[in-house]
Amino acid sequence: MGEFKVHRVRFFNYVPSGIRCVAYNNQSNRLAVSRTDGTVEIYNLSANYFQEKFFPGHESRATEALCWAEGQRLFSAGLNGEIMEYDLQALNIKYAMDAFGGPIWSMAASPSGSQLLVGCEDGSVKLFQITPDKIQFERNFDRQKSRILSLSWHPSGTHIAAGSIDYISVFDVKSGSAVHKMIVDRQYMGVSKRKCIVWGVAFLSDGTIISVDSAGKVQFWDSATGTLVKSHLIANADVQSIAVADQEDSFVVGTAEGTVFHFQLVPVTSNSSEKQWVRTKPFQHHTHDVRTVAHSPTALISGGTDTHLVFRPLMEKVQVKNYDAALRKITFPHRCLISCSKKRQLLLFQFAHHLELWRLGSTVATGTVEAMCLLAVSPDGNWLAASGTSAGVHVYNVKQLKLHCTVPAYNFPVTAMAIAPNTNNLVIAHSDQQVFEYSIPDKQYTDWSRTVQKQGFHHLWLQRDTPITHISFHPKRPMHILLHDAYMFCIIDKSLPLPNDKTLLYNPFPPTNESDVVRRRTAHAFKISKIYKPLLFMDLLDERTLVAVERPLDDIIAQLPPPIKKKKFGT
Amino acid sequence: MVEEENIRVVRCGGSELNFRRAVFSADSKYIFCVSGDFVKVYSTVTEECVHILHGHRNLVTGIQLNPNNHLQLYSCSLDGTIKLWDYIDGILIKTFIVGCKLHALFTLAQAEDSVFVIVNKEKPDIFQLVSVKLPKSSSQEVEAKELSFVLDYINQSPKCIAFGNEGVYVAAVREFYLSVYFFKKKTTSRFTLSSSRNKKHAKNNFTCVACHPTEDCIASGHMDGKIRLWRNFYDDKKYTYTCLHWHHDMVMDLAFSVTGTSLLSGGRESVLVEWRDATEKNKEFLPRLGATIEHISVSPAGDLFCTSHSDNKIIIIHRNLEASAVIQGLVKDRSIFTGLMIDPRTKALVLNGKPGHLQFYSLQSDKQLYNLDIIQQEYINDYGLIQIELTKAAFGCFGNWLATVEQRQEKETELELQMKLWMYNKKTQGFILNTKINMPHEDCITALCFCNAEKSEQPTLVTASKDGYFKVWILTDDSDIYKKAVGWTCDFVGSYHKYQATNCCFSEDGSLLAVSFEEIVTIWDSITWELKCTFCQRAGKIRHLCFGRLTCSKYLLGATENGILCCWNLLSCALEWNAKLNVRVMEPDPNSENIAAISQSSVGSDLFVFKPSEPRPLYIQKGISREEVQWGVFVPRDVPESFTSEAYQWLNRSQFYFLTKSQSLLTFSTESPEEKLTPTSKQLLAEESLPTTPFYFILGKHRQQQDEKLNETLENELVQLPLTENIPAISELLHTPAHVLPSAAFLCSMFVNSLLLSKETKSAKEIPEDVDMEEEKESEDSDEENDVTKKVQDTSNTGLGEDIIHQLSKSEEKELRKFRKIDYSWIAAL
Repeated sequence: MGEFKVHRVRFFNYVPSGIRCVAYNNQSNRLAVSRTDGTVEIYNLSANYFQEKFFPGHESRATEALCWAEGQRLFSAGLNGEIMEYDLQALNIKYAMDAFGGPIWSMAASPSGSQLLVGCEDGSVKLFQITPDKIQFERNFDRQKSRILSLSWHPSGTHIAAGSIDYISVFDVKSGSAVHKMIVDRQYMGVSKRKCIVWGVAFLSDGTIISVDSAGKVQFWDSATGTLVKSHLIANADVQSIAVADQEDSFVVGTAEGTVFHFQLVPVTSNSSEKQWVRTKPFQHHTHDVRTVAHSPTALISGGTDTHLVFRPLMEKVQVKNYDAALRKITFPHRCLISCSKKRQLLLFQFAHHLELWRLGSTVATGTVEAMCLLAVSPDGNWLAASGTSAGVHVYNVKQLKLHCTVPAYNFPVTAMAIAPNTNNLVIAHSDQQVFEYSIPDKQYTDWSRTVQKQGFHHLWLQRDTPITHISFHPKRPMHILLHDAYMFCIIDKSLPLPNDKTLLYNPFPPTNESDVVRRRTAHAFKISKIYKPLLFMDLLDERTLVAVERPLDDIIAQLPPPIKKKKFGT
Repeated sequence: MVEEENIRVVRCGGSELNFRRAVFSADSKYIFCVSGDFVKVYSTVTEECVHILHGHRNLVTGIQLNPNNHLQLYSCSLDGTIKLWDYIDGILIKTFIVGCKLHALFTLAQAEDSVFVIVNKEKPDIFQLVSVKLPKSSSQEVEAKELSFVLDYINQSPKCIAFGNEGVYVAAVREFYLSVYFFKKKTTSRFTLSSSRNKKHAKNNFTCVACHPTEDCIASGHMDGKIRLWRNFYDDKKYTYTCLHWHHDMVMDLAFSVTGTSLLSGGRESVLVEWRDATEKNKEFLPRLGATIEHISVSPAGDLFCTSHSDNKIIIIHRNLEASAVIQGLVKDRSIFTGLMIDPRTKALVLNGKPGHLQFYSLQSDKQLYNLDIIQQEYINDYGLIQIELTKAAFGCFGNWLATVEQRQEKETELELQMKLWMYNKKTQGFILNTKINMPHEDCITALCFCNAEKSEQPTLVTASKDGYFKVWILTDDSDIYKKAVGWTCDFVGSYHKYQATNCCFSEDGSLLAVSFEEIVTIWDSITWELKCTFCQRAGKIRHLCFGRLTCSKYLLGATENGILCCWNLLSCALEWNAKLNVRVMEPDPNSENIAAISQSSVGSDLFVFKPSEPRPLYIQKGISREEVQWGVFVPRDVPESFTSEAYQWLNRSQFYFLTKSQSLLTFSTESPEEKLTPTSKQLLAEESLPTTPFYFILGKHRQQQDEKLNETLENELVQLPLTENIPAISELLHTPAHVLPSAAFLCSMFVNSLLLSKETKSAKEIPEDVDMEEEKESEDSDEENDVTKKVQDTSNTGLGEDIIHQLSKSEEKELRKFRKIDYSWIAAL
């Protein structure tokens, strides 16, 4: 495999934006995530949690609410007062519509999916009808005194709960009038001058309303009588988000201290039907505010200011103990943000709103502001391979400007691809960690690829967390493929035997003092190095030089706002 | 006279009260706790011991109220029996013989005729929970051999077993798993916590478990201080738990309140935590309880909690988290450095107590009298912290002075040493610090003794140290112009060839001081501080040194590390005799010539009692204890016994107590010590429990008479002071309605007089006729000592009685007389 001179690049000053909203779609098992810079990302949870689609954002379009309606339609609303719908096919914004109520703080789609409700700064709750290609304003509910920060529909669609400052209102949808107004204590016990902001409400089918507020309380209200049933003080800081499971037997809340609490409805005794809500497990996977949570049937999803998207699987709901049962933390985008010019030794960094061009060996930076583009890979010679978001890969002949062939469709989206310089073999990595090699001239998979598929990949290879984001080739050694994800960098040597499940995957470098025979026997095609992490980019500059771009998490955290200070025992 | 049985070694009180959870009676009036082979019944209000239930022949390991009759108590013991007691009268009702060692006892209201016990069957560390069917039989002793197995491989401690939700299930914890057995379904669910070797889960071990009384909720305590509340545990997959974390060290015990609204937890922090509604943010604390909380229990009425602490103390706590009573036994938490001493004033046993304290422990009433704070610094309970230790203490001048030495040594070269001298203050009835000497020596103090001679004009103290010197300290005037203040100063410093001074000892008359310097014994004149002579036997370092007493005062005894006991004659300055004996403890009897020596061998400890004048021992008892005996002391008897047998004569004037390595306090006795407990306390409580009604006067009087009969048979050791309840004048004064009483000024002198003990016995002549003649006879029959107090009471009774009667109306007077004359004793017989 040889030794390389490595440019270890750590000056890629990339800071992902904090997560503002997540919305889980049960039908397609997809998750929409919006960030504070207005970016919206779509994750396909079936395809190994791959970030499938991506809408670049803009500061002026910061989203405050995100929801799925009418099946697969995605809406967002923000402080600029507009409701936007995203075109998930064309990957652009279909339209934006002003709600004329000032900044929008909250939005909720009706259980049937045909209506959309927004809560505005001026205290109005507006109902929109969703038409096949647009939304249409229907009517205003009784206007409240202060901004509506949270909204929730009763599963039957007859009532809604709206959280505001210091109180929760219950509206009758038919009449549009407020039925109950429930005043929230400003503090758990005692008096406080600070107003109590109801950050989230959830309306259950039995009429219970769960509210979370800035005093750190999770409260259960009876919507029929408008009375407080139970109160849990769970944090010293704000509880900012709540999400209820579809079965209404568990819900999850996120606090400003970075803790996510799970509540479950458990029977009081084994032989009685009486049930009670019990706070069960706390999860501390975040360092900063948990701005948003979602509850999928098998996992708790949380995201916040610290930019991590965390999937915490519910062990009791997971049927088989496969890799889905592991905790997942997604920090970096599943795209390659860096490209490299081999001849001129330049690195191009892609940021949200600008690019940076760096020359290796010198520190002169030049920047231009430009919009972003989608995944596309260009070949060395006259072939072009293009991959859509869902369909297969098309290979075009650049000289003749026509479609040469199409790689057979595969269920999982493509995460990276590249065409080898001499053989014109197309190497494709998918989100389920499969790697294919397709010969463009022959219009078929290569023999190596077929043997790999026949034997299957090592189970540890398939259990990796992050998708492969970049593939490159060694100019002098045609048998080598170089690829990497965020936590490892791998050279596949096609001439060596493939590893089976019994061999050690992550021990590719046998000790030098062993005899050649042993070394040859233990050597296998995958040579993996985990020195660099989190690795955003890695490529060969020339046959002896590598460039690796890392982005240490500590550097990102250092640029985030400070978290809430908590007293730690013993300090 | 006392029958002469064989002398045997008996446990004399001071046993652990905190061995198991204490149990409240149903009305919260009494609290029961195991104490060695006995069960003690304490009153929760007065803290007094009401009854001692004795009958078990080995350690009592569990007590529970009988769920079917809350006036009865079950107890189980390592002797293989379950006993049923009537605790109000202190009577053994029934004995169930199981036959194997029982380690814990549980009762369930649902399982009417059976109880649950922990036994170990084959292997020594495998314990089983079994249910024992208690057969219904009228005989006193019943065999209960019908055992049915419930759970296997459980923890020995009863804290790791809990029955929940009216006996639907039982939860047991051990190491890293919780098993729940459902009685109806007969299934066991098991939940395991990760025990991987990584640091985060390394202390996940379960330590204790408790079950919610009404809900299906199990609380478990863990090594890392977490409390987990388990729910949904009938489903192996859907089970869930909540974590509560406040304790920084292991959770020692957990208890739910009766209604289940709050959970109590405690641990080494010595703080009782009440978790309300089982929420993390809603908790209350009762801090500064003094020592590690070992057990927590809750009264069935729900009004009281109690915590058992590692310093052998039970604190009774009100529902609103206010400590209301403390039952303190002999503190046994830490190692004893000071040895056993007897306070000459109170005749209490004095030894190390709480950290930094000396405890004064009454051997008669098996109760701690008080603690004297010596170090006077806040004790920080932290593992690995090197504390100041109270290493030496000595009483001098008939209890007027107390000398204490404290030291703290963090490194070899950093020694902090302090000697304090305390003076007894008669007004405050306590010791007051008089002199504090920083660094009295350069190295550790090895011995400390006062000159206790009767005629010595000046209190003198000698300290011996490893730095090679012994110092003589005397009491002098302090630099005060009024010459009223006194303080201690160093008078003389002696050394012998730079050898380490290891022991020091004054002769009985105080004229000679013996100081041992490693292998050499030096004798000094205590007036001129001149070296008189030296003895050297070259038989190893001197470990113990003491002078003979009374007729044997010319002898000096020394025990060496190489196992030689030497006796020197001070007149001839020669070795009188020596013997090969590996002496661990050597104690002279202050009231006789006898010296007790306890030797240590590989099998156990043996006792030798001898007189210095002859090398043949008076009495030998082999194998007094399996373990090493650390300290011993002679306690003078108040009333001398009169054993005629030669072998037991050494016990006539004093009793010998000794403390083993595992800190059990043992003594030699021919009778069981519980019989010797003063009957006054029992009587006092019996009377207190009766309300003061006219019936009380009638029945109470009758009971008094009965008690007096009892007193005759028992040897009354203490001077019986008239108790306020026993003086009818006072009780009548207090219970007569205020509007018929004369003015307070008129009653005052009479009231005070009634409280005084009058010396004249002639007042007996003045007994008027209307006092019961029956009572008179009783007092005549009783022995001399009892007679005096009785008569004094009678006189005061009559004096006040007449006066009050004058003030009463005629009809009332008649009625009262009628009540007094009629004999109602038949009521008591019913």
